[in-house]
Amino acid sequence: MEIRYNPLASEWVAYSPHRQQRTFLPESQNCPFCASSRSSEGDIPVNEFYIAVVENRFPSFVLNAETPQRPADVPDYLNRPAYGKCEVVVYSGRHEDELCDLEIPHIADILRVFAHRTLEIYKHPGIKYVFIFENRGKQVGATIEHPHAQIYAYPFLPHTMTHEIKAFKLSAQKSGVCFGCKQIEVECSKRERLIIDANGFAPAFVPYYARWPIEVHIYPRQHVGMLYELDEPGFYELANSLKSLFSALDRLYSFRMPYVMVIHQAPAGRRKDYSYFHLHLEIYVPYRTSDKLKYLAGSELGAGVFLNDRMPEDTAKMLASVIL
Amino acid sequence: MKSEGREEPQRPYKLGQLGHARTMSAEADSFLHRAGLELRVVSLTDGRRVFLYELKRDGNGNKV
Repeated sequence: MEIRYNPLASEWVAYSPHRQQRTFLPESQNCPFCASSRSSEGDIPVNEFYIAVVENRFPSFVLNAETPQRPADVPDYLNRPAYGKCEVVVYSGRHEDELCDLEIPHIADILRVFAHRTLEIYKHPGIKYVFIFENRGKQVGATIEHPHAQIYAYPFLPHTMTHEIKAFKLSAQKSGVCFGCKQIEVECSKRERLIIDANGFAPAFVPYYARWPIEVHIYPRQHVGMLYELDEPGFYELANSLKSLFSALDRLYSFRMPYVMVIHQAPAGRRKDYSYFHLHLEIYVPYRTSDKLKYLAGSELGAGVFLNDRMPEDTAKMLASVIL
Repeated sequence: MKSEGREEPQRPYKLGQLGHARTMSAEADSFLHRAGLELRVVSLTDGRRVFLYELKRDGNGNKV
């Protein structure tokens, strides 16, 4: 295991060959995330649980990472130990319960567990960014069906976050206004791309610049950078919007919609001020129609230019029509 | 489309006004208490740990 730096893309790449052996779509009776009473292969040795967090059996980053051999001769070739942490957040002991099937207080508690894990993991010196995400469905790479999220703690600030943080900072310096707060104001007043804005819900909208055929961003109304800074209504509003959105996505094409959900929090630098950053969730859906997947291909992979077959305003109308 | 946002006034944002607390250890403990959750840690035979989050309940079984 090691990380290597790509100087052309200014990004780190993680190598973990042992992950080739990881559990791949096991039958439900062999699910590692069901309470142990239901499975002989269980990672969670209790008869029942509310929310469980397991250290990943096949991590890409570990706290006791070995120092890799230095590359010889080429000074531009950098590598480092794959220092960090990988955890799995299992939403409930029940194999069938997707996030949107859970009660609102349970979803709010999952968000609180995300917040607590973030704080706990940042206690380890050298962790530069804690990233939380859910891959739902094998179409987006999920290898275990039991609903769960993942936490990756990196020893560097990931490429995407570096750019996003810089953009938030520039926007705040130019206008004196947080870009997230400004988006909430614009999207909730123009309503062209708005999906959810009810009392008790965090605003959800298709971003003006959506890259995916279905892409939704959810912003808490409170200007906070990290989950743990949310107040009580803030957790409930996010939970309400997640349940409402994911239930709607399942209704859209009448099947369990695969998606990737990511949580963008501010980093936890003690010396840096990230007060310009606005916590938000991003959801990407790979289906461009009910039976056609969007693949990342030449333009997206080779040039970083996303090609989207639908205008964000039309996606928003389509999604708003299935919100209850 | 859902409409009518939460009626609280949106907080005005000024650069540098809202600093993030960065004392992670103290924050983690106080956050868990505020969240009404209890944490139990179990070790697996391969050395990995499992963090079990349960609802904090009073003597009558109600969530605190």
